Amino acid sequence: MIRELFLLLKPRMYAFKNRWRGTRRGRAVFQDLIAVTLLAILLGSIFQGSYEALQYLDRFRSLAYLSASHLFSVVALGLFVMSFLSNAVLALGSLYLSHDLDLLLSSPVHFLQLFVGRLVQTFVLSSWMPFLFLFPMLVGFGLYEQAPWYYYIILPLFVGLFLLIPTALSFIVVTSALLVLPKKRGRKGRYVFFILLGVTGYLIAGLIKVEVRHLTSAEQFLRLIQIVSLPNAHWLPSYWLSEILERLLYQREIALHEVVLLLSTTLWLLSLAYLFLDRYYRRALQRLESFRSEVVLSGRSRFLEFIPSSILPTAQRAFLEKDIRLLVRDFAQLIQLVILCALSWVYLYNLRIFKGLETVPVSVRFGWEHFVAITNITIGAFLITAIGLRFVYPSLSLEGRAYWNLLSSPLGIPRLLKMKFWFWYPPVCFIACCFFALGSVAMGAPFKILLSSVFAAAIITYGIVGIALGCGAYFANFEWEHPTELIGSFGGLIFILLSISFISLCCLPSTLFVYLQVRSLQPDQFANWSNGELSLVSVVILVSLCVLTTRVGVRIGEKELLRRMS
Amino acid sequence: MFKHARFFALFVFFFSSVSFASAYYFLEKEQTDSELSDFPLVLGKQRYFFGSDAGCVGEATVTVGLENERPSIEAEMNFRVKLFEKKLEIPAEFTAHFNALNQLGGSFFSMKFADVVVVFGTTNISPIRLSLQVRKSESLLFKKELSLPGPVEIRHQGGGLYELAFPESVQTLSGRVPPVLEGLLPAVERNTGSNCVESREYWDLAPLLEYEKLLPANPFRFLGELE
Repeated sequence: MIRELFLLLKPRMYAFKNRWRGTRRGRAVFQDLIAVTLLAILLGSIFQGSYEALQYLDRFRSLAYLSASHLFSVVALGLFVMSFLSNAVLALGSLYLSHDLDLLLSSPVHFLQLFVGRLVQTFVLSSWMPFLFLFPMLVGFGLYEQAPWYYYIILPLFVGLFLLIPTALSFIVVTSALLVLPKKRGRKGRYVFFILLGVTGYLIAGLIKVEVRHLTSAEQFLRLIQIVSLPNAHWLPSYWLSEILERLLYQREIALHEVVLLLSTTLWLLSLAYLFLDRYYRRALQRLESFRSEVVLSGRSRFLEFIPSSILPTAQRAFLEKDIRLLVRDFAQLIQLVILCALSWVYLYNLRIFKGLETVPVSVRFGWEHFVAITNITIGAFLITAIGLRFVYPSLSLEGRAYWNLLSSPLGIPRLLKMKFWFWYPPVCFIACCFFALGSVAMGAPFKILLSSVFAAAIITYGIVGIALGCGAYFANFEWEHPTELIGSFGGLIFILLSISFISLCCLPSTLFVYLQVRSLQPDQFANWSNGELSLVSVVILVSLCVLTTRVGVRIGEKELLRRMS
Repeated sequence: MFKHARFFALFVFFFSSVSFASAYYFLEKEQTDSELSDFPLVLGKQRYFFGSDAGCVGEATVTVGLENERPSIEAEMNFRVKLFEKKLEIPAEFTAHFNALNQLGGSFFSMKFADVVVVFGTTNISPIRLSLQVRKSESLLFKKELSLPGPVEIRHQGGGLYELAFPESVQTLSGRVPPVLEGLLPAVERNTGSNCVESREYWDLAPLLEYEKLLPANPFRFLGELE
């Protein structure tokens, strides 16, 4: 019975098994070693970071008490939101955009089998990475607080239950959203798009203009910590999980109510998702099919004609026009873009709290300005990574079976990759520059810092887009079932690891550069030092690092594609 | 199984709905009932009265302030006690300060009768370091230092009403106080002690002293010094 229930997962399991089955030699072993080393460094850093965070909180204890569960509740809440968004995209792909749906829906497969298969698939693809990154954190907490042995066994089970909630929720939300989708693309859809655009514009304008309450003392900063770190609403699953963690960690009585709440919410959402999809799945699928079939094939076929052919040769122009069209028509990509924009907006909106830095005492302001500027660059770099992972990394694989058409065109692989790079770099760079600049404005940073941040954005984007493209070419998979599965693949993890390593490397010269810019604004401080020379050195290091990374990344991807052809 | 999948899902749906509702109800009840103290504090100045079986045995003026969004409590108290046939008026003071996270950062309590001074203070947020000292004419009669799990928080209940929330371990500790002893302590009433004007009674400490051996470190030993 259980075997039948998980019938649709069998091919996936075999594929996974076979990937590791064969003896891996030479280059493959070397690649695996690099991946394992990077992963070990990252997991080790997370472990060390969480351990030290608790040490830091202990030192802070005379001023305010923040326990491991406080820290964990913040992470859990963030994880819940991110996991929901990631699940929504994956659910859309696996339930509605998958290539095997036609076959499955016409075959004698019970809907329960389809539901369980897609649920497990979405859950695994969306949760394996958060789980992997959460595990060292939990171990760090456990070791620091000397948790009992059963903490390490029981807690991962509850984390699994916790991560199932956004998966089930995303099934319901995605299906509901498709049910209200207009049957045809047209005026109605355009109006909705423009309304959304208007609302976003208004909010961004509000972000710049709105007056925020200034932080007048360290005590108010503590209040800020409270807002950020104590999501204490009893109805939040992250609260239940953090309570369970606390009881296990400090060996207190089991949090029975929280355990029952977590378990019953998971079961409730799973059963509701099944009942809801059983009733509305086919209708939602029809709605989406109807919406997607309304692709406008008429209209201007060559919208880049205005660019002279001396700047953009015909072959490249045709290629760019094709990519723009595909991007606009791709429903999954558009959804991801909206989600990323929403996330960025939430982050920027919250950055306003730092606008009051000028009211912080001068003795500590310098450190804070430095910290906030670097944090903005680092978070911005992670946003670029997210864009890279969702758009640039799968861009080559998304060509699918049409990849061979591209190869038969006058473009060779090197030019193809170059075109892909220049197709993605300007928009991603534009988004990154806007993000960094808005971040600086939201923080009330001086113009000099704003310019430095924008410059850093342009340079770092260059490197990350290069890595994404290189990884996308190296791990290219043209036989995907649905486009969103590419993001959660092994190649996706390697891209994230490489990108994090790259951001860490970039942070050194960026930190130095921003530090010098901030310092130059301090009156009479370090007046004898030559900021100009040091700034130039840091800029040269940053630019060289990014250019080198892009070149090497794209070259490796290019070689792999050529190897596959031969 | 596949035939009855819908019924099974419906059963799970209703079963989980019921268990969710009941667990949430108990969680809320637990949060509101046991964690918070039975002593509501109102923003601004309020008068409280201490009543025992005999009648009104003391008054307190409690001021709950909010300076820079940090709550603070200041109280001036006056107890009337009867000990070894002696009738005493005991003035006492209490101050507590909370940080921006509403956690108790420090508190201080002092009371004086005859030439004996009882001082009780807490420092640190978690664990709370508690210190009790009894002095008589500059000489130390009793000293005890304890470490209690924290933090104690003051929570805003809306409408200018605040309540103190104690960590679970402190509740467990207070639960161990014998009910007989609890009955001997005066009850606190807000603004309803009109009988205090008419009947100013004295709180007899003699029954309380009979239970002194139940308490750790014999804290009432110093009372013998009054004789």
